Amino acid sequence: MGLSHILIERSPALSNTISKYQKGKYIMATPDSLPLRTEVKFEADTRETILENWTARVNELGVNVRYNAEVETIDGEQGGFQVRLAGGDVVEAETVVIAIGLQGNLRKMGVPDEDNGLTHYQLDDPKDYWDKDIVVVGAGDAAIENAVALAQNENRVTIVNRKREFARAKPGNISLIMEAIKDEMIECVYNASPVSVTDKSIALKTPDGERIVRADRVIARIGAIAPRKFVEAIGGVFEEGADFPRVSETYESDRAGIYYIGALAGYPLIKHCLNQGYEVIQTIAGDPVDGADIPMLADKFQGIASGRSVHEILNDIRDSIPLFQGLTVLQLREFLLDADVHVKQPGDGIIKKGEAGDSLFTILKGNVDVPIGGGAVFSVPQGQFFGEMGLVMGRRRNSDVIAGQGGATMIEIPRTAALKLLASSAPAKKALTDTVVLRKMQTFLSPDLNVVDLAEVLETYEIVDFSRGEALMEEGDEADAVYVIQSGSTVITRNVDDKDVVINYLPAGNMVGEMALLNDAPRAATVRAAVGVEALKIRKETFNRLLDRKQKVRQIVQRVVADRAAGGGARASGSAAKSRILDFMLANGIGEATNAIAIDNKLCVRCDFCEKACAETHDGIPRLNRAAGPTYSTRNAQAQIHIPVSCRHCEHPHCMADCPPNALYRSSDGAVKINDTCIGCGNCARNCPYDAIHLSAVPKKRGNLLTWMLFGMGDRPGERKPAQKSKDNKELARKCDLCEDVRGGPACVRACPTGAIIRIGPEGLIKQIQDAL
Amino acid sequence: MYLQTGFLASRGWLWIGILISVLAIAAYVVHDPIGGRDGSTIVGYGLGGLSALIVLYLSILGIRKRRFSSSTGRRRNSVSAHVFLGLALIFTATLHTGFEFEWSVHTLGYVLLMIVVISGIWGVAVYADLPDKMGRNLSEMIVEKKRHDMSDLEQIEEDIEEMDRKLERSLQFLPDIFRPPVQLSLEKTKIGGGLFSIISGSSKKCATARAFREVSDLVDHRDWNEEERKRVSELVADMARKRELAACLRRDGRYRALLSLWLWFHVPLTVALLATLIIHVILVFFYW
Repeated sequence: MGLSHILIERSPALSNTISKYQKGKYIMATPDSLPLRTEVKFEADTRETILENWTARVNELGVNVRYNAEVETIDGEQGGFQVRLAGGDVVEAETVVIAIGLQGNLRKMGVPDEDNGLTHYQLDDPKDYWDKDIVVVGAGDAAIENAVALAQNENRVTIVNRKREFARAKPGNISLIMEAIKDEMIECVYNASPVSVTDKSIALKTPDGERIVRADRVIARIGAIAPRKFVEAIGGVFEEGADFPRVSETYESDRAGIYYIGALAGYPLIKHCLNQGYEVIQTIAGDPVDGADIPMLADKFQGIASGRSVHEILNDIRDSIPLFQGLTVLQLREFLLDADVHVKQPGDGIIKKGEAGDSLFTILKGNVDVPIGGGAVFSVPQGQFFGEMGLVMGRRRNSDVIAGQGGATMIEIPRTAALKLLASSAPAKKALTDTVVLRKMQTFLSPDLNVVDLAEVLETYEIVDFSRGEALMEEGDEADAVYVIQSGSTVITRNVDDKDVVINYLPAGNMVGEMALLNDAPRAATVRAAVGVEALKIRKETFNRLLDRKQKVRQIVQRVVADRAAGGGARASGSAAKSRILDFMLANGIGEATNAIAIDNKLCVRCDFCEKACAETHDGIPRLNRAAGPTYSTRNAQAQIHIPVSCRHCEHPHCMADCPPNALYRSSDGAVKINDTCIGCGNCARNCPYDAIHLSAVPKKRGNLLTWMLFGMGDRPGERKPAQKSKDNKELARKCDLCEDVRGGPACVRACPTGAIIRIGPEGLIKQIQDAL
Repeated sequence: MYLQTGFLASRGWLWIGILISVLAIAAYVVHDPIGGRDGSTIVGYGLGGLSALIVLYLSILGIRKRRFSSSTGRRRNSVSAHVFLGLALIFTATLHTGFEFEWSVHTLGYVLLMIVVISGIWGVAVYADLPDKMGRNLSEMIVEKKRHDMSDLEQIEEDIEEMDRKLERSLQFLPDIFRPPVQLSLEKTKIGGGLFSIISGSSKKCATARAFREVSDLVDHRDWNEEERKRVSELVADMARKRELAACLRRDGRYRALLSLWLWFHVPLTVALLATLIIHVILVFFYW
């Protein structure tokens, strides 16, 4: 562009943050959907290649760089800034762009003698150390990755965790470190913090007193923070509780003429940084461009634009949908990039009952109707959202939704984006749970209840978490609340002849505990979390006041309670054997499954045809391991049930938690699948508590059924030699896809010669057991 | 209690099998041609043709059940059909002969067919009986499953290995007289072997069982101090556990072998039957 410029760099080289990544680290270019618009090449690759490309391009363009220069302060105002450098030099500038990131301001331990040379704040290459005593301080991703890499290089590694557990890191890294600790590759000191360092050791404060740990090196990875003092000195403003200074939609700070981009502005992704740099320079040059995302948004908004600009639409969206009101326009733009806009004519179907869906819909214009049986229709107005049951509870859609009179314009937000929204905006989270409570009350009690009736409930409900096995309520206790199960599932047991007998299984979306409240009696049964459960707790007084006000609702609850009492009593009698089987299944995670394999071991002849059929229909790689997994069988067992290692398509898939390219998704028929953007990182395989995902390359098929049968040539059906991985045949994550693309349904079930195997959801399986016993 | 409907419990093919058998008997009884009932009457040809068709249909199960990707429908239903139509063959084929037997390829075909059917019945019996026993045999022996991705069998094999390591370690602390039995158990315990020893599944000659008896004898005759008594009783317990584990594995091997042993008769004899059947048909139509 020929602009007069200077790039001031504190260190002797550019791209410090990336240079300091671990050697050979593979860098992702997310978000994938965002186009790159700079003069510098950037795509997913190793640290080395990326740095090489950048250096070459910077030289080629003739960027005016001043190395080893540190800015101390900036005086003057827009059009005439004086940038003062350490050493006294002054650089004149009309505009200043600050792109210093955070890594220049690493958090330190803050202990005496910290700077004696023993402590480093990064790890360039784990191979620099061998057979050394190394203490890693920190419990985040960087600390874990460093510690594990060092331990793999035969160093004696101690990791110091300030807390009782590793909660802050990605789940993949958590399982990595837990495994390393279990295998005694790494020692972990929990609840510990550094007190001081000497030449060869570090002192830690632990719950058991002070402890000195030998160390040839201390590596502290305790994060980086915005250099607040510097930013505030040059006129940046931090809003209350914010980690980053405030910027406008053009990334300009509160002091006109000074711009912040990249991690300092709250955008740690490389692609964002590069694009923002481009956009800011264009703005400065007087030729402002829209963000890289604007054309994509324009594309999305095509159906609803009617002549308006993207910016107008964005403002409209933010103003008309309460869920988005806590977001800045920049956040909203980033967020809508993942979303879809749907325009529907009156009466058009939007979601179908029974479909597996986990996206959230918000209504921009018009309204939608939800038929609730008996010809009645529940209407969701403009500004509200629907589909939250799938998102929050992981259940299939529980009703049809169709566009109302006058049609409906909606924004569909996919699961990961919606979860990000809930995590980043407290008002959004509150709005969502409030609506869940409201709708649950309307479903369970009466659709006539409105926000006014439920005002007290909405003000006072609490969100309570229960870990697996924990009791929401115990039989015989005094009743103090009702619960709505938000996510996870529960088992209801009753004490019969001094034994806990399982009488029912209650998945997310149900209400428990209303019976005792209504009868003012002690709890009639124990309710335990079968997996991790999040429940909404509504206090007894609140609930009773609601019933007092609404006699009609009280009658409904009485009827439900009476029905349940009758059913529960029948099931509870003479079912100790049944109860043991249910216990077994719930202990083995069937409670969180949506579709699991169960094998009747009394029919299974161990021919492994299920496995072979699976392999034969899926590139020669079986996605189930018939023999492995837990088995229910005792000496006098009437039934023998085996749950082989295979995907259960969990309600809230553990595998989806931490997939860098977001390759895992749930199909509309309910299967958890992997698309072809998988990069083979193995996070999903590590995160799966049931070992149902494996990494593997595709093996070659040799011969066919006839050549094998007649001449013994080629592979036996369903069995192939292990694959050789290569550049074109990478080891990628493979898992069960429920044979959704195979005619006739799951191959494992079809191939079983004796009919021993079924694929079934927990409700179906439990019903089958109850019917059979 | 079965959780699922197995191949024997699905009724459709059972009724078809019964129907075919009843019709065959009725036709045989009703139709009384001049020259007696044999394969060359109308009913004879009918029964023969039907039998041949059934045989052909049943024998392609071996191919069909391995066509994992190209066929829809549940294999369980094919197996039901295989069993009940196979049983119906006893009637259709026997009545087709008109009870005329001689030393010829025709009678050979009939005999082969009957052996194939009988081996099939044997197979059904094993399939109905053994899975249950097999499952219990292993799971009763498992104290704790260590990992998700392990099978019951692998767990027991690992338990045995662990027991071996424990026995080996215990040698350091035990009086020397225990060395021979422990060595015997460590070195001579064999699981598997030849066909007959696998199928017998017997643990009579088990080295660990012998070692256990020797150890028990030694215990009875000595006075040990506190520490030694503890070690010795631990050894006795470990030996007993290993003996049980080994016996369990042998039983498992036996079940496993029995589940496929019948196929060694059923399949090759079917091939022989098909060959004989072709000769039988050619002889009947061309050289008769």
